[in-house]
Amino acid sequence: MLTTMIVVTAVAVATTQQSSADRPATLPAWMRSQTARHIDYRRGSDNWAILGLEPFARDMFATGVGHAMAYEALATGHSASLETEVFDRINTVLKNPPLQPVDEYAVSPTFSRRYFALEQVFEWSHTLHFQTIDVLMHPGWSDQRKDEEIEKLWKIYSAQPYALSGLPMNMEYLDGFEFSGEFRTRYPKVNALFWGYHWLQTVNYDMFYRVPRNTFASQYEVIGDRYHTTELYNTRREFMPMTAETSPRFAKRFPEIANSFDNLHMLHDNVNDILAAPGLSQGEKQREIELAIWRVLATTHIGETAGEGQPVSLHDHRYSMGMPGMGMMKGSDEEVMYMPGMGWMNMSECGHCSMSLSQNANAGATVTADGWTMAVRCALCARDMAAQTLGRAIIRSATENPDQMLVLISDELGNWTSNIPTVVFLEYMDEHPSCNRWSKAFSSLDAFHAYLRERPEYAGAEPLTLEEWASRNGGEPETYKRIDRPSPYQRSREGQP
Amino acid sequence: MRVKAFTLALSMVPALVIATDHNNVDANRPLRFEDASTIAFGERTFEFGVNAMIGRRNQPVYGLGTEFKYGVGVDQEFGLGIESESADGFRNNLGHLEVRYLRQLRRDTEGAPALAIGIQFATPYGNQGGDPEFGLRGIASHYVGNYNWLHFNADVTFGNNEPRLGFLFGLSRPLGYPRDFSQTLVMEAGLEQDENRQWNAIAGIGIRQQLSPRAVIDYGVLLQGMGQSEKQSVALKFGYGVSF
Repeated sequence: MLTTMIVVTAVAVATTQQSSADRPATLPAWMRSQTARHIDYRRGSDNWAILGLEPFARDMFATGVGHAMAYEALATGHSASLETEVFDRINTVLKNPPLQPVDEYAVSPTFSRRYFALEQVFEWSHTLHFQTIDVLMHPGWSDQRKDEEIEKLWKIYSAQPYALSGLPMNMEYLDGFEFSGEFRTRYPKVNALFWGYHWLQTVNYDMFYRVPRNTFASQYEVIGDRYHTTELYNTRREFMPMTAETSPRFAKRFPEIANSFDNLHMLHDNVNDILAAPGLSQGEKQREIELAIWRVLATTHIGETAGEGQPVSLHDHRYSMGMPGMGMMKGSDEEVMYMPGMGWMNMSECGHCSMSLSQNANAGATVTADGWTMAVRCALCARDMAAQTLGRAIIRSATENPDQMLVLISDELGNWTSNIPTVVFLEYMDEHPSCNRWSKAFSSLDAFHAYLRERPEYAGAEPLTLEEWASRNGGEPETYKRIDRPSPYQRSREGQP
Repeated sequence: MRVKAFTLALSMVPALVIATDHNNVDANRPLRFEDASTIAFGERTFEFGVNAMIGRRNQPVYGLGTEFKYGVGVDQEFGLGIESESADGFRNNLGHLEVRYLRQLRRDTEGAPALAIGIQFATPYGNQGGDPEFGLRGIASHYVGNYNWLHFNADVTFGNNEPRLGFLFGLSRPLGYPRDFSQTLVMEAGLEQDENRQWNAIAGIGIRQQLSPRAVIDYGVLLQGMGQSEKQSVALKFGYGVSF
């Protein structure tokens, strides 16, 4: 299939800033094929495990409807009502999400038939989204087995010609076309919905990855509430949610999948902008969408390597230190990047104390609050970082047992509940650079004492109950380094976030 | 022979698209027409259907049908099924074994409909005997706006007698959109030749209802033999399809 290529009219539509070398002489033949090519998803006992958490499943099903309704309105000339009637219609579905997965082709027949190659890319990538979730939610598989199954899913996904690249891509480049930003400028409410869907579709992976199953529902109470009350309607967001920003543990373990999701979501943004661009004819839109697909296809980047590439180019696959699961963002370099809502960050450092994070995916903790998820170095950093943020929070922290993750959930007042009733903490205040040694969570008192026997320097430390630990606050660590730079997403157009 | 002809007509030719998706219309699920799409490559489905035909001059005839389908290739599906029906129990009429192949030739675009062709071979087995039959079906499906899809099926069936022809026009559209996404309304009308090459009109209406991501039920009413009073009948149909 891939060897058969069709010639594309190489008339450059003068809408992009990129060089003509970024346009292919030919496109893969499948992109203009008149066949349907339906491919079944991988069969297994994990299929539809997502239904084990119905509120989440329904919200995920509704994201597909929301996408499809907006696209159909754009394709059928109803863009004038996108922010009013169409928004209200989508919002009704989001508030009353469907019980079953919905065939997007049926909801957006005009769009899906006109841009069929795009629909295939979307459908195949959404299948990867859902099947990865199914594996993570499987009730019987070990964490090791789930890791292996996800790697198999990636291979199955990558075997198709319409698979998106798992390489990190430069988001500044991909969002730097003449038409870029049109959709978020003209339709901020519906754009917020899109970015809200993409927030939900990426934040869930850390919610499930190596996390006890009996915490899924209580975590989703927090996540789902945030999604419905804030993320769907956040017209102030500066850039689309990135997988590594919302699920850093998953993105670090499966960088190719995280990158492919980000590339998919950027493709959504590109398509939205192209459809909203006022100066393009239907034929030009068709061609620009084909090019947008081509840019992020895996086949376009065969032989290229993560970590390499000409800066701010189509083949820029560099990434910031410590996060191979995210491409370069606007203004970022190998050391720092800008995270909307958090400011400038070094992804290889703790978000609270700026000390280096462990390369061990099972060490340290993450904090989910206010729409972001940050990796931190120790239990103290997690607690104190959460305390600096208004609203509910989730801490996912390693314990001495790699198979037993601690999940703490706070209410609005900062009262924590734990999935491990016997949890105790060590907090033996010392120099902060060694915080990952003197601030830890243990699944039991025995484990606490076993650790102290190996660390005589902490002899005399008392185990802290959850209540005692939660009442403490270490303040801002002396090691914390604030990076004072302005946001790279300055408003350049009226109405642009 | 009449019973056999009816059975074949009911089950004539292959299936739908994705058996577990109510939007994709499958032959006999619950009406005779189908859309021009196969199940997905690698998909496996099992379908089960029952029907009761009430005629003006005959006692009720009950039917059972099961079929296994497999997406043997991209845009290709293979089916193996058994259809049985009898007015006095199934002991002496085990029915017909059917083998089907459906190939989607092109998808629906804004300028041209989706096209598919189906081939079916059916042979009786059991005590009552009968003649094997071979059928071809051409299928076209096109979106016509406002969430309506139109379908056209053209059948030709070869047996011991002269070839018989049949034509069906179908319509499918989601029900309850945009508040509900789990039901599709299907309607059909058409003409078919019987074994004496006389034309009979048929019409039907039905619903396909999603039960779960893997399962769909369907039910409908089919009026047959309109125009020939002695052949008029009403068929009530219920079916269940599941992928595995």
